[in-house]
Amino acid sequence: MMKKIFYIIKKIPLLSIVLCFGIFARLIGAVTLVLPGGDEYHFNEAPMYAAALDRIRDMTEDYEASQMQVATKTVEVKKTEAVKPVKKKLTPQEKLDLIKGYISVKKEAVIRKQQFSEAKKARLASSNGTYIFAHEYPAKALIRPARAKDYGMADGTYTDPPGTTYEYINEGIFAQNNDYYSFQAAKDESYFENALFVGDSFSDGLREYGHMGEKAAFFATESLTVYNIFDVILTYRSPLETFNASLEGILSGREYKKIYILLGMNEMGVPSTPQYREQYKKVIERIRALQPDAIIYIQGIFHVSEERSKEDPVYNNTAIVQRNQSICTLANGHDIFYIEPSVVYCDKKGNMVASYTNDGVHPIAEHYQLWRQYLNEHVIIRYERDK
Amino acid sequence: MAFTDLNFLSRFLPLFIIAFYLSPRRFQTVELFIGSLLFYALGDPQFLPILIALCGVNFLLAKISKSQEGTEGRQWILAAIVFIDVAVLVVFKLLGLFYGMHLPIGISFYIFKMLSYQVDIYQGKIKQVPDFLESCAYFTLFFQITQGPIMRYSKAEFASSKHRMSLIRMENGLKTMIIGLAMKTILADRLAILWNEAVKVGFGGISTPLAWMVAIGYSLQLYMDFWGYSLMASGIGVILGFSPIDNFAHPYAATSIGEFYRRWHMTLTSWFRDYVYIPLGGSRKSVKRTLINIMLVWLLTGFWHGGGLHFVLWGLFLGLFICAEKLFLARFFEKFPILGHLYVLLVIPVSWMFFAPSSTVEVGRFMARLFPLTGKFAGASSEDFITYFHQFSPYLFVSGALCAPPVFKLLTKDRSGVPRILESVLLLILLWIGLYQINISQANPFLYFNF
Repeated sequence: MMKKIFYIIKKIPLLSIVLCFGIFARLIGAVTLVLPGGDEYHFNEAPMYAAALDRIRDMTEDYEASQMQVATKTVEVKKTEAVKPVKKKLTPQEKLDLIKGYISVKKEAVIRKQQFSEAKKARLASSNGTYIFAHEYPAKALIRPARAKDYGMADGTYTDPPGTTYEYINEGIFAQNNDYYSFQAAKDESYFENALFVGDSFSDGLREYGHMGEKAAFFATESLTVYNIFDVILTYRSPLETFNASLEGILSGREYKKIYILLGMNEMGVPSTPQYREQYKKVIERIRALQPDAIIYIQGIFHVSEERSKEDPVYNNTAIVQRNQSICTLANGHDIFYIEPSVVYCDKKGNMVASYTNDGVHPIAEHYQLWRQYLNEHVIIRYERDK
Repeated sequence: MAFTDLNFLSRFLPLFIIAFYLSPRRFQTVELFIGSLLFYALGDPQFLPILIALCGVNFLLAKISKSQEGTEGRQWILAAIVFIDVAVLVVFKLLGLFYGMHLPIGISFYIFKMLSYQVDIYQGKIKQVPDFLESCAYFTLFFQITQGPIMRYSKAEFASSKHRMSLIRMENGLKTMIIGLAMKTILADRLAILWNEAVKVGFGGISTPLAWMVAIGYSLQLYMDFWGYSLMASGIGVILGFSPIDNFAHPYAATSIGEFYRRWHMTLTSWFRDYVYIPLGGSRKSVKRTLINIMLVWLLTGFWHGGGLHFVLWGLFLGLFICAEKLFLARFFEKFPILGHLYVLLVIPVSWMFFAPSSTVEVGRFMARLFPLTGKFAGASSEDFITYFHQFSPYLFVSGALCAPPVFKLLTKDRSGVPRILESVLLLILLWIGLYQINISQANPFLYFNF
């Protein structure tokens, strides 16, 4: 008997190994490796996804709880929107809370407030003013996410339940007393000389193909997400220097006046929107703590092409608009601003025009220039030095 | 359903093979037919009726054609059959071209099989009209219906009574399949990322060195992908008792474009030779007629691959080179084979760049980067070449090495000294890596969507 088996194995070793292996794999329960749909799977090539998925797993456990929270928030939003922001004098303690207790921030904020009133006077006195205030909230001060046509393709796993809204954050540290900055065009591109761009392949494209890397510093690479941005080490590039660093390291060691964030396309396949917004908020808070004097720009996720939006359950404009609506509420008009460069690529239905893109997602190299132009036309100027 | 779909590899195929081996011989043809229909329905159920209708019509007309043997009207029956089959193909191609409708899966392949079947019956290469199930099983054979190879009824000993099944054959078939799977998943799918990157950036944004790397990478990717796929199809055929079908014979080692296409997708090239080129007169008539025939065949080949104008341009581009070879180039390269190799390695990657981009405008853009005489460069610098080279060089070198016949011979030569168990373990590792790649791309569809 044994001899016979041995003979067979000798004749057909590959078949026997594959068969034995298949049976063995099933027995030890490694079925997930051979069959599709395995859950407990960690990818060597995508550690950030494993990490992100871990977070979702934790998160989904109390998903219902978070939904209830969202529902209660809806009511609050209506209240805050209906009532005009009340002029409120902050107590020192409140100010400290607002700036998360960072002494340097506090100093800056106090000094700035004095400068504000002086500068405001100066502006009223001369037409050569360098900054503009929008007293009406949110009229001119805040940009709202662009809408897009819904083709009904969005997978409910990745989108909000109907009727979800998010609370607007109205407090900020730079402009106080119900003053809001409004956007204007930059005088020239020296505005970006003390700016840092943080983001995924889009920002990397802006650096490389929009030639923005000649002006500003970039911490951007493919597949960066709000979940992994503080965990990865990658090549930091500025016009003067190039080295490998973490975002924490860069923000602690350098000073920036403007920080542009564009993160979100890679998170589209990671449920859910409240979780994404929460994480985005944490990222902003951490950046703010390390860079107390920087204007933070949140850039809306780029809309995709009509073709993709019609077919893709994950990367479609319905879901993207929802995500943009969630993160735009993090912009307060005081020190954090929402802008949406993707509108320059969109048609009336909110889809990216086909001739601007080959993959339906990224602009092609020649057209990154449009984004750069948009940035030039939408800047916040606080002081002369911000120009 | 593609061969690299885990549902196919881990469910459909093993179950089918087990059922096929366990059942008595007389049921095997039925099983092949039903299994193939099931396979087709799993991938593209809406076009299943068209496939079944075409099978029925072709079988009936073949019967009529055979019964009219020796009469005058027989050629008109053949003309009618050819007209019906070609019309269906052309109508779907045009619908796809103008209305963006997607083609029924594999229609180009099964209609070509039907045409060869009809012509072979007419010419007497198939002596007896096979029975209904046998004909249908031949038309719909599941491991050939989506991407070929185009097996001939007359050549490939389809008759199921001749199925020779044994564990040894199964072993050999499995080996071929694993090699094919590894080529496709480990090499081709990785190289595909390079092409996708170029598309993402837009051809205006890649430097000239990178454009050449992309062209070479695409040439290798297409070869590894298609060769791997053909090996898998051949392996499945061997497991089920058919003779192995060679679809590729080291095309990149050719010394002329004509030779390249005698070695590349051999079943398609020989189909065009036997059913278009030779009936048109081949090269037996005047030189002028030969050249016209060549251009006509290549025009059709271009149209067969896809509807866009750039496919036609691709066909004409290659046709022109083959005409030039017929006239004088071949004689020149016979004297200097090294120059011939260089010529193939230069012309073929360029020709693929007519084939791969999505439209004629894009072809123009790519050509402007390959030969940067006109057009402005929107990219950053030629440093992009270095970045991508670091990322893709291993895949490029391994695929490139596999193109060379000596390397392939070295890998596949019979090593009676080495225990076969060692070889099997190596193949198992390849299978494992292949399945792993498939699994991560399926279980996490976002992996290849890194933005």
